[in-house]
Amino acid sequence: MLSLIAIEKSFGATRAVKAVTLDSAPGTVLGLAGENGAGKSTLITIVSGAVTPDAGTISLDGKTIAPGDTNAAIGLGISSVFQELTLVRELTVERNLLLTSAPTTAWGSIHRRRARQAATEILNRRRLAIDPRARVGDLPLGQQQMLEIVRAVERKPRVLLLDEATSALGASEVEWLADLVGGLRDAGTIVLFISHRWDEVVRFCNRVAILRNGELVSLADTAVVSEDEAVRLMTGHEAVESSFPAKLHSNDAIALSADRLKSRVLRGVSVAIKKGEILGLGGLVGQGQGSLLEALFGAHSLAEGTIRVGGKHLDYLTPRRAIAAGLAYVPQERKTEGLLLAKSVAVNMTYAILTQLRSVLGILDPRHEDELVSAAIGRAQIRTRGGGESISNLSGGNQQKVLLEKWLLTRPSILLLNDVTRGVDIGTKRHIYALIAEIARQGVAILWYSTDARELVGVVHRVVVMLQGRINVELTGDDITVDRIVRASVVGTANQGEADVHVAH
Amino acid sequence: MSTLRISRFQIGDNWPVLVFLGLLAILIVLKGRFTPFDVRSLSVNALPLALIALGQFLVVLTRGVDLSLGPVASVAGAVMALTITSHPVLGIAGPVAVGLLAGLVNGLFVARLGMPPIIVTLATMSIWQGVALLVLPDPGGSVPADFQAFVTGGFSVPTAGVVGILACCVIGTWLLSSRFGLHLRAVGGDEQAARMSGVRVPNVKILAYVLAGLLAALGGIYVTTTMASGSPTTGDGYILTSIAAVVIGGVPLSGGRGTAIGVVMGALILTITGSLLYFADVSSFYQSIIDGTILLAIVGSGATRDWLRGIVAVRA
Repeated sequence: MLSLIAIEKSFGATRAVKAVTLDSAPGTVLGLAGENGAGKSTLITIVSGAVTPDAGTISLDGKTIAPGDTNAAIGLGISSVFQELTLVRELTVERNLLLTSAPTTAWGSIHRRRARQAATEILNRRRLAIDPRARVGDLPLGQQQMLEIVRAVERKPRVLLLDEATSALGASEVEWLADLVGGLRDAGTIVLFISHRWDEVVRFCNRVAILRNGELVSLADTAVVSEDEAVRLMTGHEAVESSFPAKLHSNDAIALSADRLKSRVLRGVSVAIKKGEILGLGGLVGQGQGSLLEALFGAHSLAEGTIRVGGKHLDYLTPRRAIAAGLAYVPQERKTEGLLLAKSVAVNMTYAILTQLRSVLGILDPRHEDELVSAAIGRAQIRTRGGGESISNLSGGNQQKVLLEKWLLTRPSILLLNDVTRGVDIGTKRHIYALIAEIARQGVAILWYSTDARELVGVVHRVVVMLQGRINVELTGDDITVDRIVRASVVGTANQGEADVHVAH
Repeated sequence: MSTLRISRFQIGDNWPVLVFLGLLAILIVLKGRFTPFDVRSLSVNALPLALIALGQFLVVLTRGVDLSLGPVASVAGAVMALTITSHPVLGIAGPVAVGLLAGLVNGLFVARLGMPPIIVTLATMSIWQGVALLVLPDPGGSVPADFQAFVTGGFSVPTAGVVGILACCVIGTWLLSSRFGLHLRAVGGDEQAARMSGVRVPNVKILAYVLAGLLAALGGIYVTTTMASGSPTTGDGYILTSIAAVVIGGVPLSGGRGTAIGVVMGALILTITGSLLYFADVSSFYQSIIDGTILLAIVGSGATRDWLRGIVAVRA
């Protein structure tokens, strides 16, 4: 029995966790649901020992766990998987699995054959089809996350903490995790599971604790909580579906067209987006969606194909030329590709438009910058103390909004979005949906890759589903349903003759 | 894709070996002969750099750099030159202790206080340079002739230096293949990830600096023995050449990757250029120009290869 009693934690003036008391018995998968900033991640990091609570006790089978001591927690059998992966990208899968437990020879060298056997055995037992010799950094994000999970499970934990462990997983990979977690549950492991997706909470958990603003507002069997009820408890507002903005008709003029794009990943992709249209990009993780967006932005080298913006052919495309042509790209990895984490909100918003800011003899006019930044903060409802605040203080969802605003300030005519709502809470998602719809209404063409089929259904005008580097199916109008998107994600239709070509990463 | 990867392994990892063999071939052609004496002089001249570069390599693997290794070699050599004639045991134990202590100081500042390695070792570099001058203001001291003969194997037997070079390859490779070696690469690859995976990051780093200090001291001992006297500036020439040897050996300064054999080859390459110029009858002033060109060519060829591979892979 894992018991949390009266846990309190404040960061500065913010009370992140307020007197939370809950327990979980062996064989229970307890879901922690709530918006970003509701305190779920803080709670789980407290259990893992990575964060010291201000007050309260945690005990496992009656034994109190020393607060804020990761090693003590690991020693008691508490194993965690956080959103930030802890694999060493430079090393192979095998070395990562056996980083601290590699079998050695009498000489102290690592026993290559036995290490290979041990790693292969783990991968087979956990049904992971990954080459043990592959460098982890070369694997798609989804496989890296699966590896991270397997490594945590291999420690034979009594308590397993999964914080957004499905954020990079595609539909079939989520099923894999559901089987794994089901097995652990039946074997008597206590699992704490955080997810932003309610359908996953229902799929994985038999009990659910709903948190709002650091408080536990509900603890119940998952079966008795409806989705609408859950969303109301999490946000105090109405359900997600009703938060989708109304779809507006797009213009007929083509804003961007790409013809037969081919590269290491893309196998001949053609798309056209009209002004004011939101085109959704769906499919399993790693089917070339990111490469397509990067190719359009000049950041993925193409072997063949042409890209036209407003009828004008773009040759030798680089990100700089793409920006000049009116494109903007919001990447998936906001921490590594988008944000300057050491800088302020204002700097992060304006550094793509520095040349357009009013300046005197090369010195920027601070008032002009302030006006732009304040307006953007207001428009996107970014929760921050102001433009001067460090970006790293903001929650993930608010950081994402800053990134969106950064690119909107460039006044793009075409906006490329790479899974921008990944790991973002429902309240922030609603703002992002509204923002996207508003941008489209102003005539901007939007190409939006999302791993969440429901939001594609809710927001976009048209969906193209990618499979193995090519467009598998295009859906319009009433054909855009979660079922059809999911089916098109896994069942190939077009170009069966070339279907044996594997997608390289 | 798979063939590309294989060719990358074959050429990429053995690149320094090929460059060394190429330079060796040129040397043999220039001299018209290659005797055991040549083998001896090359290996004996290269061994101190190989030892110090190996130490540098361990630190670079953790994504650090150690500027103090040269001066540590100076101090170790100075201590040895002053003491070994009267106290044989102290004459070896003293410099070894200097190396271990110097490494421990660097390691504690870097790993425990989290200070940047380049700053810490820039400071200790300066400190050890001063200590060397205090200990031995002018070149001097002595090394017993029988000890010198034991270490260098006299003037005609090539084995001593060759054994030392081979030992560097074997011991370096063994270190890298151990769990400690895996942890070194993990720390250099992603320190946070290594910590979260249960690797004791500070201990791994401290051990890397301590071993680097020890190897630098051994380098200082070896130079002092071959010269038969100490000098307070013995090691200054190794401060940057040890880094150059590591890089020429195919190790990125971003850490996490590289082989001990590559590093030893880097040391041999930087040593053989001196002999080459001598026998080509070119002023030794050109050596640093040649060394710099080799450094750019080797690192540049790797970058160019990656760039070309990117193009080829897309067209394929």
